[in-house]
Amino acid sequence: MPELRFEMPSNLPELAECLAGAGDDTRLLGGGTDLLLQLPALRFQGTTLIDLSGMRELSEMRFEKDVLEIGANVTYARIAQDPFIRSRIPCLAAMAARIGSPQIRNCACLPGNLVNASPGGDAIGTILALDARVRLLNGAGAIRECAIDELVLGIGKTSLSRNEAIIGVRIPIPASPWNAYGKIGLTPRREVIIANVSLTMVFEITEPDRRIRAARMVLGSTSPRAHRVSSAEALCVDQVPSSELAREVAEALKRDVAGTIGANPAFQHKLNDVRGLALDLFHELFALEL
Amino acid sequence: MRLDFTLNGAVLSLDIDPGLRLIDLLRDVLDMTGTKEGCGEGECGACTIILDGVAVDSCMVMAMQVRGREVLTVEGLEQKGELDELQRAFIDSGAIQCGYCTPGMLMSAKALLMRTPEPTEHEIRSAMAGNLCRCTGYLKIIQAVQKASQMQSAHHA
Amino acid sequence: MPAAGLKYIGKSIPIHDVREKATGALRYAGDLKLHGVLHAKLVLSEIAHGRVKHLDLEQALAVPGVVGIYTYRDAPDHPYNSHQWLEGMEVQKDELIFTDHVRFHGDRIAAVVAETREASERAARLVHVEYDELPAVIDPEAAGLLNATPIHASGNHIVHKRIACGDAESRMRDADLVIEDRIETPKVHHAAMETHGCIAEVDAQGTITVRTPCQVIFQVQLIVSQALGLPMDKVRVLKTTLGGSFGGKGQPILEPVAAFLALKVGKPVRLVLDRTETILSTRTRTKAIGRVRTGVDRKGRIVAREIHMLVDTGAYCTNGEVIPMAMGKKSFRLYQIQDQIFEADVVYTNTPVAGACRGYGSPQICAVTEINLDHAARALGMDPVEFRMRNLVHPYNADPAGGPSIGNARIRDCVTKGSDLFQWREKSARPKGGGRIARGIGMACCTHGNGYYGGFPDFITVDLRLTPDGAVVIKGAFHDLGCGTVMTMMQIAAEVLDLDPSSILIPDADTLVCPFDSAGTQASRVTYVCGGAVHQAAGELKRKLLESAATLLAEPISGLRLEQGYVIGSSGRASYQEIAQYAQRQLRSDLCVNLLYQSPGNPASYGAHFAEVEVDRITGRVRVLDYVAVHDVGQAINTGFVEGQIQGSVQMGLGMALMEELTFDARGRVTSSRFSRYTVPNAPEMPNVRVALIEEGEESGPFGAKSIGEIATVPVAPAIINAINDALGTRISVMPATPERIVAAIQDV
Repeated sequence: MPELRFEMPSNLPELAECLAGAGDDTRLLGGGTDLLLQLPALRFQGTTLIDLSGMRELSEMRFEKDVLEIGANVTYARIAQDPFIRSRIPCLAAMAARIGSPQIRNCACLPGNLVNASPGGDAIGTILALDARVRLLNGAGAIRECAIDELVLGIGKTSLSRNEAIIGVRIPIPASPWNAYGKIGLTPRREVIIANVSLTMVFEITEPDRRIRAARMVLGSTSPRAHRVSSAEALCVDQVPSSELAREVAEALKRDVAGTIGANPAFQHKLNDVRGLALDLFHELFALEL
Repeated sequence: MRLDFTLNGAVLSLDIDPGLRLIDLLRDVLDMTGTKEGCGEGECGACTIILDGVAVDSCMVMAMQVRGREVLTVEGLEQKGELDELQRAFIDSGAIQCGYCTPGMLMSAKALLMRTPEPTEHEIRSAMAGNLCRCTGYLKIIQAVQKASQMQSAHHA
Repeated sequence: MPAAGLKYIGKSIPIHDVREKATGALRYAGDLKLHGVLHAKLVLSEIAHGRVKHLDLEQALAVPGVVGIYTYRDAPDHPYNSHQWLEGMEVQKDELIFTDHVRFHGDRIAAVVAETREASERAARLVHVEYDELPAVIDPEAAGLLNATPIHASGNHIVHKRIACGDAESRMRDADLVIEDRIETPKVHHAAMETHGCIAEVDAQGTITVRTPCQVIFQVQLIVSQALGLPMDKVRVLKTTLGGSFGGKGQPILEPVAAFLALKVGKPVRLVLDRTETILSTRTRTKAIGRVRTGVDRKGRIVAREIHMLVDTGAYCTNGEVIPMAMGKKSFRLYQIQDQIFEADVVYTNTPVAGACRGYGSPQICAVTEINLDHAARALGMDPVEFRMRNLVHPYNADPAGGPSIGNARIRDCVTKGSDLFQWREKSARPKGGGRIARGIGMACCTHGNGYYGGFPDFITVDLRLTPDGAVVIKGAFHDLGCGTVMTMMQIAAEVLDLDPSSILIPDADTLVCPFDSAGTQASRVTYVCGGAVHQAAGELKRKLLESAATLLAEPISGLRLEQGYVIGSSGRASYQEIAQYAQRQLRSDLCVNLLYQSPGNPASYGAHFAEVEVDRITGRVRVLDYVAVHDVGQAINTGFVEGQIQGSVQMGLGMALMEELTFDARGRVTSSRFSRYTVPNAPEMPNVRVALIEEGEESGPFGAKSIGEIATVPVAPAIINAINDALGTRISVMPATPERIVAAIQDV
């Protein structure tokens, strides 16, 4: 009768060693909040779990001059509470503050969301909007970096090989804090929800004319993987934020969602949610009456 | 597998099946059934315990992951026969009906007060958002947390 | 606060087992560790309708630790109806322990018994079931049409019911306006935090003991004995602490299964469900589709009403024949409507089984009629409160359908007090908000019963005894679901006997120990009927106490009074302890009472709820901002419990109004079988609920008390829906009012 095996590397060389021996039935255990849902099956299959939780070096957040590196063991709660992230990358703090429940945020970490590659994975969209890169360690002990859209390929599909593990995420720190995140639930509740639509907006804005130089807008939960909406982004370039712009962007995002969901009746309410959410974020960022 | 950790202040060293979740270790192996299971997917919070000072769902943590760490369960709230202020406040406020969510509620509230001794009502509601109760409508629970916070402030003043 | 002149009645005392609950020391069924216990895991149908063609147990039996796998081939063929609580009741017996004709996603096919929980789970996953799938009936409106694939041999239509008074048809023709609606209420999961579970064991004499969180021990005994074909005295039932029920644990579901397995293996068997199994395979609130026509005149008087309820009882009948009557009776006891017809049709569908759920049909009929009345008020251009005040019943009005007296019915006081507290007039004058966010207010009135009087036998026997150490022991089949039943009984006895409630002991219900009770914790009967029994029995005990004291103190009874555990006379006093000992030693007597108490009536309880909401016109998301609930409870025995019942009810009703619903895929499989997909309101969702009580006393109730636990859920959903409709000018008719439905309703305006 197969039994579950448990490996506990405490540093990168040990992790590399575990990865070198990883087979098809090996899974990485981070915060555990996704993986444990499958535990009965994992026990049954005699899975090997490589538990990252003992790796101190992955529990750090490092601020370099224009990059924030978040270790694989940093919980969402820590991201949400970090004063620097809250002031400079509010979209990241807001995303982290709305993942699951308080208890889940005290366990769960970014890599779980990324490797699960669920359309509803809240972190994927925000990481994409921030143009972050993922750091991966392989069984040979080599480290490579890749962009999030090179990692997440589709529903449940990633480019991660079985000998690789995410060890951190490198996020370029936006020049200005004009960014925001929001989500609306699949169910009507407001907190502790799975996203029906999530939206991250990252603006580059020049002072003092308050003009938008560049915008990145990413929708989550509306397509197999989170994606940028270039039509909405283009509307913003060289514009001053206004109620009119907000409405145009909301419509552009809605058109994008209409294109991705097609006629599936179960998804039609995303059209209303995305519009409301876009207006919410403009209101939050620019205090516009909408 | 060998597991060493601290449970309610006591250092334990056990030989366990690595396939166990923390809740299984507590309830099935250690017979500490104060911690309840209500959903098994981190939605109801009945299994909430405090791990290194923060509230987590014990159904979402592998037992082996608490090695070298400190676990506090509802059984550890009472100190030398004295109830914790939160327990007293829950009792006095009528915050306990069927009692099944109570251990988890207490642990979420405890973790909140450890970090934020004087939370606002909004902060209390958010901190308890991952704990479901079907009996009370939460209102007396929220009052109890406010009351415990006041009792603690008065105590420390 | 205790009521005037009373010491314990009205006081907010915590629930009797509060300390053990706060420390985690109290053990619920799933926490019990019986020596040598084996673990059972059910094999449930993965399809909504079909025949099991082949069951392959080979791999499952090979799992180490598996003791046995028992299927429909092994289980006894004694059909039963889990809703039956009295021997001889006429019911449709359509349930079996296991079945090969699976009728819903979650129907029981087999169970694995193993030495460990893990082995039972592993083996259950390895039971391979092959089905011949049959067409599934999910929509109750289509159930009658699909008799080509009957769910049961008798067909899919179970029964038609009718209650009528006056001549509604012709009076309807005289109406100035007739307002019609079709309103749908959902299949809802009770969501008690404790999932279902029980433990059964068999002793050397062949007696089965079942430990279970249940609402009616004698019903569990009856059903287990029927399902296994055993005499009732071979089944003993012990109630364990309930981690919530709300009706969900009212019908014995797992008890016959666990008892059967324990008999098979000859060892204790623990059967505890997980959340998904509880959602799928226990009970749900009955789904209903109501069609209502209300005729009104220009002055705002209701002249006639016709109601038809289509009742979806799911895959098995359970209480399907009774619940429409429970619905119907309420519609004659709230407003003065002399000409009214209520009709209902009950159908099977291939969906999870409906049963009792807090309010027992009342929340459904109330939603249908109260939403319709708001439409009527709107059509008349009349304020909904004013419109209701023109039609509500007065105390002691006769029930035109011939039901028992409604008693001191104080619904008008509830509405008046609630309107003031809520500031209805001020709020209704406010603009709705023309932008993205709309605001609205709504209210609803409700009524509910106090037991089975007028319908079913309603009596209880209780034993009270004053022990030689001065304590009182009350034996009766009380089942505290977490509402405070036990403390309520203690407070009643404490008041009569002037004794601190901590000196009163009420052991957990046990069929071997407790005298018989006809109906258990059902039908909102506990405070009124069981409390009435304790009140009367305590009075008897007091009389005996005084008689003995009179001899001991050598004084006439007329000069004696009770005070805090003492009988005080003019010349001296004696403690209850001394008197009880004196009675035993000198009088060769024991201070005990055995009392059979028959319910004296079935007065109506009433309530009025008021809600203020904010609705996002773009996303259809609703926030309940303010909430007032006023209830006519006669007299609160424990004010804190009453508030707790009302606040908890608002949470449950808010879920039914806005978010809770079992949903199905095209093949009838449940798609909301987990808490991440079936969301119930959490703390951030709850409005503050301001509670006020009308305590004008109900003569026949103990200290004037009437029911509260069920009725408080009844008007919540319509109050909220009416507020949404007020905000948006919509006619939302399907609950829950999800964001999708709200946006669709806005587009229909």
